[in-house]
Amino acid sequence: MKSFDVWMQAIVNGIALGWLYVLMAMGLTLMLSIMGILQLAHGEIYMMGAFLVYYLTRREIGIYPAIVVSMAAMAVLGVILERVLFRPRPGRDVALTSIVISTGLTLILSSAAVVGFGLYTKSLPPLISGSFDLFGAGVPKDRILAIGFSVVALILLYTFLKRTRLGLAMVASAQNREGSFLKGINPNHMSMAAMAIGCALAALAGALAGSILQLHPYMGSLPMINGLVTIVLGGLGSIPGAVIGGMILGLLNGILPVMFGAAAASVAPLVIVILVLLFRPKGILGHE
Amino acid sequence: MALLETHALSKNFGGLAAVSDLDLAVDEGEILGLIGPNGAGKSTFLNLIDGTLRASGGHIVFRGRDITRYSPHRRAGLGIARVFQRNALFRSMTVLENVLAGSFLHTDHGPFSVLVRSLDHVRKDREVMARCMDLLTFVGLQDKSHMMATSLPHGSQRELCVAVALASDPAVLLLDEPLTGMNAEETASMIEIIKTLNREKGTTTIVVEHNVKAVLGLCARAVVLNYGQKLIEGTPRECVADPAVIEAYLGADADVF
Amino acid sequence: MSETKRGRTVAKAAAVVVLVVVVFLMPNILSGNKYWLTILTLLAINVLLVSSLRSVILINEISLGHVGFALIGAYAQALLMMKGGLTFWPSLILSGLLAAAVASLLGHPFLKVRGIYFSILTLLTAETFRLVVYYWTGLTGGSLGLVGVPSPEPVTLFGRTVEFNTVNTYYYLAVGVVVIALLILYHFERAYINFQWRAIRDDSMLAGALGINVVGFKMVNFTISAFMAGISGGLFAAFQHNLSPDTTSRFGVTMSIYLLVYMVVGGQTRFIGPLIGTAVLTLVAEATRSIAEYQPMVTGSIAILVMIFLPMGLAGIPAQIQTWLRKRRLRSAEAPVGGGTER
Repeated sequence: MKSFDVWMQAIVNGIALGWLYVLMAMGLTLMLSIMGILQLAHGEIYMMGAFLVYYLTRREIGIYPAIVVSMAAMAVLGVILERVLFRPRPGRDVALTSIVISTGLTLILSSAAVVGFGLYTKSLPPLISGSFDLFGAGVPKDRILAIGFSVVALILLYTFLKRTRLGLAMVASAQNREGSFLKGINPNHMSMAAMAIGCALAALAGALAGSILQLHPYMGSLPMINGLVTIVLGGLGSIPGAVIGGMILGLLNGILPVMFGAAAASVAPLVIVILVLLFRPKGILGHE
Repeated sequence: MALLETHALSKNFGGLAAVSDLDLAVDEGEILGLIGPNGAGKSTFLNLIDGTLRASGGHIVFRGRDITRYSPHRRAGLGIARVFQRNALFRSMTVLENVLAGSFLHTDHGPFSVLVRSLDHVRKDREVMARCMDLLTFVGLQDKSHMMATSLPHGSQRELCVAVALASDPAVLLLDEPLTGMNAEETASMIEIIKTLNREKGTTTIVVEHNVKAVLGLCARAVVLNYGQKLIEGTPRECVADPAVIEAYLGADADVF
Repeated sequence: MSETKRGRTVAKAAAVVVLVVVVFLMPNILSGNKYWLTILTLLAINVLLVSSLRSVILINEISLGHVGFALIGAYAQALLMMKGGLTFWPSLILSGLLAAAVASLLGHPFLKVRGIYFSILTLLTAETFRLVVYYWTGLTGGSLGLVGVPSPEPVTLFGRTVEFNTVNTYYYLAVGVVVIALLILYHFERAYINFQWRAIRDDSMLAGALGINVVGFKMVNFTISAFMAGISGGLFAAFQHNLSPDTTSRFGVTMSIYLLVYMVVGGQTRFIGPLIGTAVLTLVAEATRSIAEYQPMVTGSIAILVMIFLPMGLAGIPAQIQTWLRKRRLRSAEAPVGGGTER
């Protein structure tokens, strides 16, 4: 039997991981539903965001301002990418084009990271040190803080999408591109906003991951895949769905290694997603 | 016995009943007009008949056979052909190739038998070819057989859609707003096509159409749908004069009259 | 009109003949240079894999999971030869059939999932296959890999025994199998079945309404394509003698996506596309070997540039030049009349 302490740690780790996946999934789902693209380089944006924070903190900038700067920088990068690479071109298959272009971008960014940042793993200064006692088990504070930041970011996003003009326009554009175009919403502006928000969230996720895990040029591929898995689990374009999906996935990733070992832990989530996709192609909370 | 019947046919989208408890019978050789305000469930009804959508409840009976669970291609095989509301054509094919694709049922082969056959033999099949050219002549596109289908003007694309559907020699033709977006001349020629077809080949036709004037001239019988249910059926003139129909239309779309 | 058509056919035939001769004489041209023959052998194997991927494009689906079928083929080949006691050829056919069988089991539920979800589904499935192999240590050797896959057994031809344990001879075997496989794929693309595939690609709803068994034809396509991917995996296994299921191996997600890049850079609308794309990008990778860490950057940039400027890929360049010339000619013909009223 594993001790209570181990279980508690596994659960907290799982929830923290789950929230990182939720942040990644939000960006991917915004881009997928508003622009119709599969942005496979989203993991590299996450990686770039984390490394930017790393270099800023090395220059005696506090980690919190560094995270804010990194999010802003990635948002700008997102807008540029939308304008230069992902703006739809007439007569092309949007899905295929986006997969290939974002693949190219993945290759460029990850090899740039290898060249620029080196292959050695790095780590960010912790958000906060120490741990506290929860039902007799030690829980590291930085995990809880990371979860807190993610929740706040998501609530802000939710409020933005439901309460502001731009947010509502984005939702409308995601639901019906032509219809909202006729009502005077410029789809290109919506795409830019989606990319900006998505990239900023990826930078936040990268920074949080960098502070509780490690930095590496290839750190983005797993969160990208898990972000996709989260979307599929939760249903495209559904924020509550993404949260549920992220939590399921995070907890599976946290608990399964403790229960059944690494093999089951890496295979099980994929099998679950494949089954969900087959029986509910629109995800758990998705609708027709 | 009617050619095509529906019994308590229903389709729900989430909580919304697009078609509910619809009983309808279509006799062999008639042209049935299906009218009603926007969102009345006309297109959904056609989608249920041709199998694009699965019914939530009820039955569809074609020639005494229950086809409620059949897939679209099996229904097409039984002789149900559909002309979509949009100009659905194969965009990489010429006008003639589109009609050849439509006549696929006559050169009939499934995914496996087709595997062992060699080079494109449809095009060499004189008989099928001649039939397709006849169909193109019938809709007046014989001179444009080698143009790309999508380069035709809207009205001609519409006529081609009908020719493609006819290529499968259907027993029932489902027309979803065949006259939308056409000018007076194109409208007249399309009406002529539908009438000639019915007169000469006895093709049973169900027409969903907004243009009530055209329906009056085309059909002997009409059914008015509203909120997925049958409001009234009778001759088109009776339908149009009925106070309930006028109210349904005025409620939604007063411009029709 | 027919004059130029005949001219084009002759030119095409000549190109094919030259290609065949060059391919056949390649070991002599390279005077048995092992390094380059290895690269060319792998190139041939990859061309088959990319072509199999392209065949799914014919039904308007983007599969990101073909490395999964290649992995099944490779491990089946290796295990059938090492533990099953079978010889090379039966194992090769069986490994292709096994990949095809898996594809046909998955095909029905998978092909109901449309568009980008299909791509995600296939991507995750390939990754699942890889992880299963990675953790099924007892059968596959797990992360240590499967070492010692035997070479094909020698064949006696015209009283001469040909061994396939050198690159020089395996090159011929691999190229031979790939050419046969490509001819079969080409046959399907040109044959009657293509009419249905095209109809499905153009408008699957209309195709269904006209009586074409959409799911059935898609299944056949997917199964054939997986068979070819399996064969390419089998060829790979017997060539490399060891297999690894690492993320960075040729069965990882990255490779899956690379294949798509090969295809699109070559031009997915043409049958020759995968050959051109794979060859060009393999050569580019070789040319930039000295700056290894920048290599992905070069490949990535090529992918993006081709996507932006050459929608039909490298194979579409002649066609694009033609339309460009025609437009120019039209414009210059119209100009003196003061025309150009339409567009």
